[in-house]
Amino acid sequence: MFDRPAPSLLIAEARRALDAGVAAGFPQKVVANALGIAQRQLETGPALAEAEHARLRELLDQDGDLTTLNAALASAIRKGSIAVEAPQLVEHLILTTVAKLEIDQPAYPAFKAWREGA
Amino acid sequence: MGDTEELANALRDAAREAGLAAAAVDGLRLLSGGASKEMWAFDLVGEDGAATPLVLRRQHAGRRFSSQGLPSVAAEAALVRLADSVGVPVPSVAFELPPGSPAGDGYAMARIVGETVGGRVLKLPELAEARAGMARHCGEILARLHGASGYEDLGLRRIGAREELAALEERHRATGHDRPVFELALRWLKDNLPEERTRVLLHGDFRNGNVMVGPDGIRAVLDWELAHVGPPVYDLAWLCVTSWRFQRPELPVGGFGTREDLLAGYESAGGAPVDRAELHAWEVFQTMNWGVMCAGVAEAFVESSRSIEAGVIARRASETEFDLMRLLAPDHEAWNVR
Repeated sequence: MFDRPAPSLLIAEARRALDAGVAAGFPQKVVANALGIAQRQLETGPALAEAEHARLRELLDQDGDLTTLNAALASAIRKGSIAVEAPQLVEHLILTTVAKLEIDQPAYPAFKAWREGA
Repeated sequence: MGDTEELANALRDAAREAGLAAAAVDGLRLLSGGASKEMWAFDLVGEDGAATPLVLRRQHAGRRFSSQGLPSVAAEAALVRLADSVGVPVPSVAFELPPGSPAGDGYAMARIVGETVGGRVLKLPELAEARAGMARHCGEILARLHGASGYEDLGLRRIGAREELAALEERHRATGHDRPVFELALRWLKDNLPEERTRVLLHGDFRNGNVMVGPDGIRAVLDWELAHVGPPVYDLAWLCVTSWRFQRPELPVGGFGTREDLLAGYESAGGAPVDRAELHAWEVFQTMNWGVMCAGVAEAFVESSRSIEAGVIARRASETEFDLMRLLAPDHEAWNVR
């Protein structure tokens, strides 16, 4: 599940900032970052979300939309009704987290270092 | 009070009231204005004509001071003086603004020159030598701070491991967003975060970005408003959070050093020996702590306070989920997908 704010909100806010005028340098970079997140989520988000949804259906042996199943998983971990050591659980969390970073921050240094084999 | 001249006069009066032989305030200029607090640079000119470069940290009169129990910005000065007295490098406090000062609530301190931007601390060639000794120096600084007494009357919040964890969980729930990775971390922390053996004076936000560095090393520890009383490992672990390593994730202490150097410095300056498993547990705690802060920004963004900066920070919560999974399941074969 991708985090908030959704792409449409990021784009709206970037547009508003551009309308008001954005200084060169860091402020400009922040706007470009926001648009980058929105663009990546629009382009590759649907496929990543579909893969996450499929893993959740199998992991929980349950049907429902992504939001519902993600909430069910959070609740199962909280209540202890799913074993935290279960390899499929950990695998799901790692894959989902990697997918989120692809969208949110592919240049996050620790993520890049892992990608490059560290 | 928007008028610079009026502020200069109020500053001069406050300096005189504190017993300094102040003739004038010169070159007053705004350095940064946060949502509530401002920093101003100025020179305090003595009756002998000598100029002392100072910085004013203040907020406008009547605004509530948001911190961990300190009643005012001026009261923060007492804490900085205490840190100074035990050998923590800080900008020495010059004078406090007296209650009711037209300049607001705050204090003036020495104006120190150095680099504070975390990424630049790690990059500037002239800081290379400073970086080599910094992890150890951070350990020494924290040991001195943690050994301080005399903070009991400052009214600082006291909070132990169990309460910290309960508060973290509550803040996470308040974001209203389901995060399986945070749930996993919370469950792990409930089993693995040890009760503290002692509670000490903590800086509360000790990290790369809140220290001022020169070629000679750490010149000052800044930003004391999150100071509180709690388990010593809280400060040590916050310094190791991956997000504060900027472009150098392979160096766990602020992107400039090793845990071994940090702990060696800590113990050499009188800090109690640190259990590595306890440090690891608090690194998990502090990583999630930063994640919940980012997630909280997301809620604020969606509810009300929209800005492009907030939108981007909100989407940084996922970096902490990545770091949490690296901490909690470093050897899982799913990492081989890369």
